[in-house]
Amino acid sequence: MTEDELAGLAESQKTGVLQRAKAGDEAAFRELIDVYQRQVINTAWRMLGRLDDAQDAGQEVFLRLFRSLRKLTSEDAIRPWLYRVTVNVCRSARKRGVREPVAMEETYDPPSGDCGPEEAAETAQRMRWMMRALARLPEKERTALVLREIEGLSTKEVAEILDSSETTVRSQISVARTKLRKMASAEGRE
Amino acid sequence: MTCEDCRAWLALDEDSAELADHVKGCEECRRFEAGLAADRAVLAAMREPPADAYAAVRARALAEARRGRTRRVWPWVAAAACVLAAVAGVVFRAPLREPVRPEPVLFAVNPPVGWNVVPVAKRRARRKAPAVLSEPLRIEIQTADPNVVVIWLVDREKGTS
Ligand SMILES: [Zn+2]
Repeated sequence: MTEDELAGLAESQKTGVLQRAKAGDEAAFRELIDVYQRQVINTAWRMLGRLDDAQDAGQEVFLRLFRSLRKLTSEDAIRPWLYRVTVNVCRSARKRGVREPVAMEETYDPPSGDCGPEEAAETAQRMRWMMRALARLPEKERTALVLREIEGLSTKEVAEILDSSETTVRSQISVARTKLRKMASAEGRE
Repeated sequence: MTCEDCRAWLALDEDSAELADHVKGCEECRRFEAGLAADRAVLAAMREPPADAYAAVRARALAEARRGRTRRVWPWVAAAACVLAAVAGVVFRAPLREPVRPEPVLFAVNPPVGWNVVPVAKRRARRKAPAVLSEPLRIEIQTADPNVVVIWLVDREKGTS
């Protein structure tokens, strides 16, 4: 979680945003979206490969959140619940025939840190390659890798979200990493 | 340790003296290890969607939620209206109905010898003349939306609208 998200979460917990959202307070529901939109849209984007598909998935995920507010007993439960629902929505989207992930040709602004333009271009180029490589992984391996390496969850958290065992998740991730390396070697990248 | 074993362990984030020894002496596996680290760094940097990806999702989700709330309210309004109409129907129909008279109970007894028994035709229940029709009953149901009022007109004779 980024510092902004943590700060946002702390703020929302202070004021009982979940309780207010349950009571039908639209501003509270909007706060929930603001706190969790990064995790939802980013996860969907990396799973589906296209930003517009990820936005559709994100809309569906937040609608499900709205409908399930009553079921959520604590604010701690929201984050894992949203990851789980995001994964499910993306899987259904795939089954419905959402387009195959493509090379990330869509607009992408590399994070403008303290690096120069050349370095930023290099980073963006590496990310584009990674999106293409992720798209070539089987769905289960891609999902485990996205949650573990991109979203930074622990193996245990990933296993819980995917209703799987830690052993299975570790194995999926190691297989995925090895495949990425093989793709890179085959393309002459290291 | 073979290179294959070494890479499998490396991909599992395992760490051991034996592994370290192999990597130290094997350039291929060192490159593999560096590649894993590079991939991890790239993936870790992929945490942010473009900043302009959020607004549309938020707006659409809020609009859908609003619509969903309206949709959730309407079935209840409709159900409540049906119940009210049914109750109104029963209440306002009841007095107009022919009061239920208990059927006469007949005991079958053998008539005394010598009596001449003649069957009697059943009497038809007489209908009361229809009551004078009054104005239909008007039921107004307020909804969540102040601009929408459900108006139910109940015909007092038939109990329907
Ligand atoms: Zn080796």
